[in-house]
Amino acid sequence: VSELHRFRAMGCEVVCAGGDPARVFERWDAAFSRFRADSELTRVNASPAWTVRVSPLFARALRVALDAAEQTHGLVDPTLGAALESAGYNRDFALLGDDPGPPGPAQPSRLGEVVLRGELLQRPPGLALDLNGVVKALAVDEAVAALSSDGFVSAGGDLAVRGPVDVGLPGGGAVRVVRGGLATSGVVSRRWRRGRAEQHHLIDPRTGRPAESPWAQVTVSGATCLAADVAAKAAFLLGGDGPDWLAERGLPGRFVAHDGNVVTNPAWTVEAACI
Amino acid sequence: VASPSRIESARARARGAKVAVGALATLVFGAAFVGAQHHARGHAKHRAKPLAAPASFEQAVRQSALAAGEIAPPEQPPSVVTSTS
Repeated sequence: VSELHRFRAMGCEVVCAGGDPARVFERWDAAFSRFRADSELTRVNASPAWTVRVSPLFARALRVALDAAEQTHGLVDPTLGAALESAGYNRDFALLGDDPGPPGPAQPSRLGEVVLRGELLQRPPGLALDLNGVVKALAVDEAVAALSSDGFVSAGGDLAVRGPVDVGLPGGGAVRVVRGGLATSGVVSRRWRRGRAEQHHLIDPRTGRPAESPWAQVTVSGATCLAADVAAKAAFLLGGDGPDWLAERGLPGRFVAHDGNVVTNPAWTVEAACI
Repeated sequence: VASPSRIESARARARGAKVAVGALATLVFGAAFVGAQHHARGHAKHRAKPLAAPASFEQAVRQSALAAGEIAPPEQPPSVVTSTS
């Protein structure tokens, strides 16, 4: 692997080799940040109109998010912006601290209220979209495609490779990512407190609250970083059913429980031959 | 020399004939136009729609979007450590 580049984007450290795709991340962040007043997402969420014309990039990302929701039976949901705000995630995570006040009310999914036709978005005013569930992975996939040579792009728990790369895993161990992406979703980072309750950013759309899961971290190998990320989030939210859900789709998955115990599904065990 | 009344009646017949020929030509053209719309090969029979993949194809593509990547046992010390998102 050639020289490493490091920079911050989309609320996390980006590490890459084989090129410097900082501009790719800047473009995605400028459009989809919940915390930038000039982002398109902020403008769309603040619009009082029922129908909003969005940019081609926004339409593409939202279409991907709606498809991800369909593939995961609504588990990966782009309409949970209000739930994140209610849990207290209302500013850049670097600025987020504990708060003695209680969290706001639960904000369940409003997926059925969103319609996208081409570049026309229809939804009730006040519905807060949050596309972070797919946008970072899309940025990683685009960035790795833009590399000038073999290498990788890693942003937070999202990673994609061009050529084989050996990757260290949460809780120890390593795996060689030969093709595609590797994503880890979990609650080890991005935690904070509201009142007595610990909060995190993985919202269960069925309750509108931070999810309760037996897993601390779920790592999935996908044909793309997007596929891996969507599957990892869904498997985390499915709790004990996560390993079987991945196995039914032939997706290699590795689960780290809160006590540090590591579980792998058959696809992971066969391919990686390690935990 | 023909009387003025015969000339007038001849002109009236000529005008009538011209109108009849014009109406017949319009009718024939209209019938041919409609016939072409319905029968001529290559002529649009209905309003054009944008090209799109069949719904079944799109569904198959969406389902396969959650496809597996390729992993293997590591061969070297890790170049990068994946964190958590």
